[in-house]
Amino acid sequence: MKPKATISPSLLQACVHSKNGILGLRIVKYFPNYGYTMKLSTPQNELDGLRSLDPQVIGAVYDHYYPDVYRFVRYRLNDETTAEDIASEVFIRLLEAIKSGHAPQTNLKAWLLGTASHIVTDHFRQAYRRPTDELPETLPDERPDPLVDVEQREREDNLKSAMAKLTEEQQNVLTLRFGQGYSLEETANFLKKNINAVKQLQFRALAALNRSAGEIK
Amino acid sequence: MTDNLYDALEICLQALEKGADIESCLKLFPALADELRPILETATQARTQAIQDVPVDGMRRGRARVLQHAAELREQKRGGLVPFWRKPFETGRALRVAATSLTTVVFLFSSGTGLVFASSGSLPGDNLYPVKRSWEGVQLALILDPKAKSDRENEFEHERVNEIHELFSESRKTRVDFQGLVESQQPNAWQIAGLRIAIDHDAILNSKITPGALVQVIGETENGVIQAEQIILIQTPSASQTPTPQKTPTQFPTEEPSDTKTPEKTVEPRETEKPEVETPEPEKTDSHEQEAAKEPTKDKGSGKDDNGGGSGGGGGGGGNGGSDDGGGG
Repeated sequence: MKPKATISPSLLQACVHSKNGILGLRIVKYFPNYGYTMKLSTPQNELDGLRSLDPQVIGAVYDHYYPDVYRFVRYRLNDETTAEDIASEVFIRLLEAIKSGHAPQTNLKAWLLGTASHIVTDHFRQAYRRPTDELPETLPDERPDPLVDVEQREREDNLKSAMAKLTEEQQNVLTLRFGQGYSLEETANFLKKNINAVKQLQFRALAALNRSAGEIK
Repeated sequence: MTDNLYDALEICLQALEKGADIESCLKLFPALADELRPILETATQARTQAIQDVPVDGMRRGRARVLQHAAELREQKRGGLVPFWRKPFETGRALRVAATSLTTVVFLFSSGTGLVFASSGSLPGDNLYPVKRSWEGVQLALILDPKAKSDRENEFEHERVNEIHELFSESRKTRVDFQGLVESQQPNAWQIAGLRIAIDHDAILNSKITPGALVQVIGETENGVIQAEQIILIQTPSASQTPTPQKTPTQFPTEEPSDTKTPEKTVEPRETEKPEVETPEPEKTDSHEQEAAKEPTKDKGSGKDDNGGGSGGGGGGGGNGGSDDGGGG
């Protein structure tokens, strides 16, 4: 669907000659100024390479899945830096799980997004327990061109704040459907629910988000 | 109705994703329009929040962090699984290991031998006395030759007796435990291995203990005497003797009974009946003849007295008759 990972030609050479299963990588496209774009052919190759802690496999897996994990986290969070930290933390947790023998057996992407969801929920819980002081109004906005669409940014902030008040399951269904662009079937598969249950869940999640956003306004 | 609502929402969401607007979607479900409108507006707004660009710097930082963590895990894994003899040789580490091992060995050796040496002069009741006895047990366990082992056991038994003499000289009252041969037995005092053992009513004794038996004495030293608490029989005197002499006497007695079973002796009593008939004769004959026949008559007379028999005439029936008389009396 999308380019999965990028590596340099020298790294490609190392990958091809690696004995740890990285041969499952398949060249998709070559960009003259950027390098080769590759994707991992089978989940089993990914998992075998991860178990051996092969840095090349780990790098390829990271490049392959990081964008999806980051988008998933960023959709629920209104803080880019925190979203980056949490996205990389997901891969650290993956390595720890492999070390302790609790590595995902089949669907690595589902494991990564599920772990990301738990970390984001924990982040909200900790933030609720330890509220921080609001930033002063004089602090400059680092985002580009802050005067362009103030109203849209307000709506965005309100929506993120409203979303944080939903249940984890409601946040996940909205993130997968509208943040990741998953179909109803893909969402049902990821959440391990049937399609009718997901239809009901997304309706209730949107209704709750609408209510919560109205309260914030 | 509610199922239709959920289905209608899904149909509208798919239409919005393909570029349709909210109003055209609501025209498909006019009965649900009021309920669907705010939901679809929120869904549209939620879709606009989707993130498309992934910050490259943040991704690179995260990648470095993950790979660094992987390297640490690899190092831990390598350090945990490689045995020490497969690890690369490091002089500093090897010296540290050697110094630690040497110090441990020297400490254990010096403390062990020092303790044993210090305990060699200890007496029963001293703190180091158990060390001395344990070391003796170790020595015995290490000796395989039976004769050497027996000699060493005798040495230790002598050592026990010497210890008790020392306790006597120091007038110490201490519980002792030793083995020795019973030399003499008086009602309240025994002599065992040259030591006086006082026996009172509370002492636990074995009735089979006789002089010459090997016994174990448990008691308490007091004023040059050991107050016995318990004396345990280890070996009887006969068992303590060598077994070979015992076999030879048993062979001879088996032959001797065959000699004693001669029928001639059984006939002799019949001969003695004749003198009974002759007994009246000595009264008539000379005293010399009476003296010659005294030996059998004395025996008979004593037998009659024992039986409480009456006159000599009455006993004319001889031995058998005497018995008859006794029965009649």
